Amino acid sequence: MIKLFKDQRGSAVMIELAIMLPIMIMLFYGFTMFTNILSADIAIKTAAREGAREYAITNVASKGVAKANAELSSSKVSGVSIEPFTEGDGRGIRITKKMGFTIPFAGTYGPTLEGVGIFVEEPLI
Amino acid sequence: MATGGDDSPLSLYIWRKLMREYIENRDSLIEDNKGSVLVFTAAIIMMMLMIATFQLVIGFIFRDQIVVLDALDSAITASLSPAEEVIRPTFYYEKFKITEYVTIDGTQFPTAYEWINYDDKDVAGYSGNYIRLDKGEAESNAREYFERYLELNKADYTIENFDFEVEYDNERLLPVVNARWHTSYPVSWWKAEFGDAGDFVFPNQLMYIRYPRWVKTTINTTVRMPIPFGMGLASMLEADGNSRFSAITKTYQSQGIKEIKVVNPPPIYGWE
Repeated sequence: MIKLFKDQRGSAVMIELAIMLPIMIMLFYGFTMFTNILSADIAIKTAAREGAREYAITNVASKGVAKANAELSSSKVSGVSIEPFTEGDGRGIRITKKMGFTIPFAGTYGPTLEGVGIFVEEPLI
Repeated sequence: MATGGDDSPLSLYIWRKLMREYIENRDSLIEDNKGSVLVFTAAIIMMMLMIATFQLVIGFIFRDQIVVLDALDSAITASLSPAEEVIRPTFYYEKFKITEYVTIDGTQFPTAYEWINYDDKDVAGYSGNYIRLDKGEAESNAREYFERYLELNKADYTIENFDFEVEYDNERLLPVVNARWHTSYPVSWWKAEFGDAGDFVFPNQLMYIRYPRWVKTTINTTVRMPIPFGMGLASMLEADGNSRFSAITKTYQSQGIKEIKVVNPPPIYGWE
């Protein structure tokens, strides 16, 4: 070990590693965060679709919200805001989530994800 | 606290050694061919960046495709929402009644018949139910909900093609008896709704009219959506920046079907 650090080549290696390691860690952290955000976004959009479909079929907003909640639970996404809405004959569910990730000494950042589903109310025949 | 020498703490010794070497070689450190980590790591980082970017692009495309498929799902259900159950008579005012037969080799052939009036001179006889869908309204609904869904999800899209088709059950054909006077031609509504034609056949004065049990709608749409970072990639690969890398164009198909739950049992014969 001592020999390694005494060697000129070894010291260069250490310095280079010291320069590159934080960059690599930041990149890895960034990609992981970005993948998490994308995964949550897809889950939210799917839940909005499922919730809106349920709402359109039953015409009961609470059932649509419950369906969306169940879908989000299966995807392990929490801390969302679920809001049912109507638009003409359409029945919809809007889900929003403030996605945050912490950068040490810099604060918490992240986008607000949104998924909206709207389906026409289905008359039974 | 020790400040150096052989009896110094190891960390301080290493730090001083590194700093000394850095000061002595700072001008040639990066260019020193003995150090390979920087070059190697830079190459690895470049590869990681490319792979990660590719992964992100695929992720975005996947997400956008989910939104398009959800919008298509919404559109197809919206297209079927105007479907309604309609009940039409199969007998009109009068009908033939065969009064005499001749039997040849065990088979009966009618030789005499007469018109029989219904008492109330109104629609009478068997009423068949079927499903009907206004194609114009259905297509309008489908398009409206498709676009609305994409807009609500803030999707950047261009609809290049939107084909809408309606198909009916072609199996459930029921006999409709011809009318003579005081009646409207029974196939007028049928032609208007299904565009089919037929002729009444002598001697029974029957025609078989489709009373569809189900209706199916099909949407074929081609949507063009930009690829994240695609413009940059296109610019790098092609001077004009307008290439297949900048946007993805894909055709999607969706089908939905709606049927009436209870079908009135049809008569075995439309005439007596």
